[in-house]
Amino acid sequence: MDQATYNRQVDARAKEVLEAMAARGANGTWAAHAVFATGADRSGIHEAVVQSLGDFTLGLTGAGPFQILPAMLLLCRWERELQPETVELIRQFFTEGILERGNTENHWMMFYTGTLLAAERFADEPAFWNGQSPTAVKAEATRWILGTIERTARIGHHEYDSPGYHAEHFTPLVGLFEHAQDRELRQQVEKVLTLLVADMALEYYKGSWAGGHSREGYRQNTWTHVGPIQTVQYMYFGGEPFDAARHLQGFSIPVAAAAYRPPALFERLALDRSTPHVVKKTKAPRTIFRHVDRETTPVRKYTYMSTSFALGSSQLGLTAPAGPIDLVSWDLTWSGDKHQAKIGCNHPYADGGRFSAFLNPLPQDARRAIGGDKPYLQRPDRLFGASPFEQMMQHEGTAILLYRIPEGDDHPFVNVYLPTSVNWVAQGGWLFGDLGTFYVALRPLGDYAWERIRESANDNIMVSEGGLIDNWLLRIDDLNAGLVLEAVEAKDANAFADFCDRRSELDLDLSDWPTNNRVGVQTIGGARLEMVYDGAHTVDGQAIDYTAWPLYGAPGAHGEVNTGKVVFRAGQEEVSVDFGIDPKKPLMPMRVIG
Amino acid sequence: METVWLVGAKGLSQGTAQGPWQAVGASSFSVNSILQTPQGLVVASDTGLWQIARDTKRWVQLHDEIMTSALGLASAPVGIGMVVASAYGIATGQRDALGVPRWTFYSDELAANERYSNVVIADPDDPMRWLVGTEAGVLVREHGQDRWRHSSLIGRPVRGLCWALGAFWAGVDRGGVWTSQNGVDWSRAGTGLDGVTAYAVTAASGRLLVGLEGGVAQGDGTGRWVCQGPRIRTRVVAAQGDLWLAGASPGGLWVSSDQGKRWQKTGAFVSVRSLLVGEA
Repeated sequence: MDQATYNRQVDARAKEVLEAMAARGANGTWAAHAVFATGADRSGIHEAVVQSLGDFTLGLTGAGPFQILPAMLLLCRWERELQPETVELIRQFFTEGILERGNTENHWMMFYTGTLLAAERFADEPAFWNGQSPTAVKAEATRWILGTIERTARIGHHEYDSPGYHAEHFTPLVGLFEHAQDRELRQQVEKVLTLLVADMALEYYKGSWAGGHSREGYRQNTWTHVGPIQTVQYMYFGGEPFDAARHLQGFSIPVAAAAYRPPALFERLALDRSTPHVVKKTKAPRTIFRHVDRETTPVRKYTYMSTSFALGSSQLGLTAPAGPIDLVSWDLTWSGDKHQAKIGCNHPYADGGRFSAFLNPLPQDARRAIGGDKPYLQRPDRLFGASPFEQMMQHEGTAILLYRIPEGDDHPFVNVYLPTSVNWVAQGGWLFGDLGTFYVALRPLGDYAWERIRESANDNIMVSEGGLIDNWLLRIDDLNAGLVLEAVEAKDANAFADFCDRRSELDLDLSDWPTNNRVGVQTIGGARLEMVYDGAHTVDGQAIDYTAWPLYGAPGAHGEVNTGKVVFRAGQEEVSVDFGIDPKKPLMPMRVIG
Repeated sequence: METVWLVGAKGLSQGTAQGPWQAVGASSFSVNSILQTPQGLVVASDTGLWQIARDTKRWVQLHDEIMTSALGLASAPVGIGMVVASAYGIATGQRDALGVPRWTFYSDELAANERYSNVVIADPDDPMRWLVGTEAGVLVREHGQDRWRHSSLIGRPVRGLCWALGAFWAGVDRGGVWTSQNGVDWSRAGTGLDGVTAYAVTAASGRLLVGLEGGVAQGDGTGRWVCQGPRIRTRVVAAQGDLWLAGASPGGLWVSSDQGKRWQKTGAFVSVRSLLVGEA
């Protein structure tokens, strides 16, 4: 598809989003873009800005990134449409308010984008809220934004592949691309937008974002469709009918009103699932600042995009007690109803040190301080969140997950999530599921109990739309738990019964687990996987060299780490980005979590 | 005239020990450390570093895009006059052409636990020699020589440091109180606190006052520590004459006017992390 045709299609989908949002009568500062773009009743906009910014002049409340960014995006795009008192309110906010950066990468991206745009718009003010000149405010914001872009280009996105937070990176970057005065900044922003679109496209599976995620932690990782990024995915990739329940996400509405359009080839990379293939990505090491003896290493992702499913896993580079709380290391994804098209497992690690390893509270206080506000983080049935005792390897549709949970752990078991809609078959120690177009086999390692996981619909902390989970939970009650999983296209495995028989008969070597840390498995596809916990991962005797992992590696995507150069291809179309980086130059340090 | 105290909690407050307490400026950012400088008060916060304007009490930003999670402060004759301890190491600042501080970190080559700096104090005999309480123990920054020295107090988090009664004192996580004459060679101080977390140490009425996990303790640094007070997580202790203050997180601010026999809660604070005699 040529770019002009693609742009017209995106225009149409964006219009659909904006009109549907405006029809809701939503007048919040994010959704206000829909009101202006469609000519809807704007009488509530000033009050929406007042509500968002709070009584900042009294200093009673601080204002954070979720107020700072939308205020400036609204002003930059719609100033002529805003009432003069609204403009004045925003000016006062940036000159007299008390503004806060937050502590995550998306927070800082929104904060620095908002303050940069404010510094340009109110450049004549003698001082901003922090006592500094607009010039100084802009200089700091520019340094951080360019430094973050360079990090992403060289070592991969920090708060990577988050269905929840990708939008909070994407929306400010689109705002910078369209409104910032600095040409060099806009050029770098456009390039990193290309990478963020590529991140979505390469692991897009029929409305889902497959594989590992830095953050998918609000009890949503059993959902088929997750997060505010769905609006952007729908606009840029299409491929499914508009669904207001999924595609109207406030944080992405400013993008719907924007003129930015990504290269057309990403639609094809996102939708073409005709040929199974592997997607590799490198992402930045997790920010772990204490309790650890060795530095975290980069995250290496492996996602197998098959025709009927996607299986993705991650090498996280963590060491105990670090366990980023929102992280989802792996999952099996397919097309289906909410809660009915995911399989995953985790160790619901609950040590207080996992918090204080990357958050400020003292180790003595972290568990209560963080868990008090977000009690779901400490639940034994939790299905997300990293454990430093989890390791995994993957080859195409087969994954091995191994755990060495220490004695004394609060939750000395592993949770495996299974949908109820599958008619499970037990045979030879394996569990088999017939998903129609593909089959899946799971082999829990260790004694397990078949439990029910049920989450009340009114348990809506952090997730406004709640969503009842009422499915199966296998609790593998073993310090040396594990799981071997293989998914195979039905067309490659004859009948389901044949698949079950064959998988049961193929070798699964547990003779060295846990005594010598090794598990081996022969796959239906004919490969031999050997995994040593804390040791080598081999496929057909060849060790996987994770240190050689590319920044992007897939049919249609290639870029090496620390080059700042990536090429994307789809058919005859090609898009190259070159950030013009100096690989010897020290990276700006990342002082936030992601 | 009663002593005026500065209390770092959610925002900065000032008042006499029994109150009332008044907010200093409108900001409610957490205050981990307070430093009096010739230019006015500076506070270290999870949000960064702020100077409080003498006239308007407005919080003026001193941090930049790489300075955040500031935990400790000490005066130092370098840059803008201070060294900052943070979750990412220690740093000094220098004003750039726009007149705003830019920070240089000196901990980057250290291991993660050595970088994480809870507290920093200057050697009273050498203001360019800084003792840093890190998650890995006490490290000594000999800044004039641009080098680090590891002390003998290593392998356990150090949460509090002070110079008092002619010696250095360290509060150690699950390790009680330690002392040193030179900042490098450390030994246990007193008895009875070996497995107890000590967060802070200060001089009080010619003795030592220690903030503990579960109250306060007093002693002379050689004999048995006497534990007393409410069972609070005492993050900071301060004394002026016979008036002793203990700040807890959580637990708020407590005052004793009889050398620790009776403690009275004061103010509406929930989480107190820093105390200083002085006015904004």
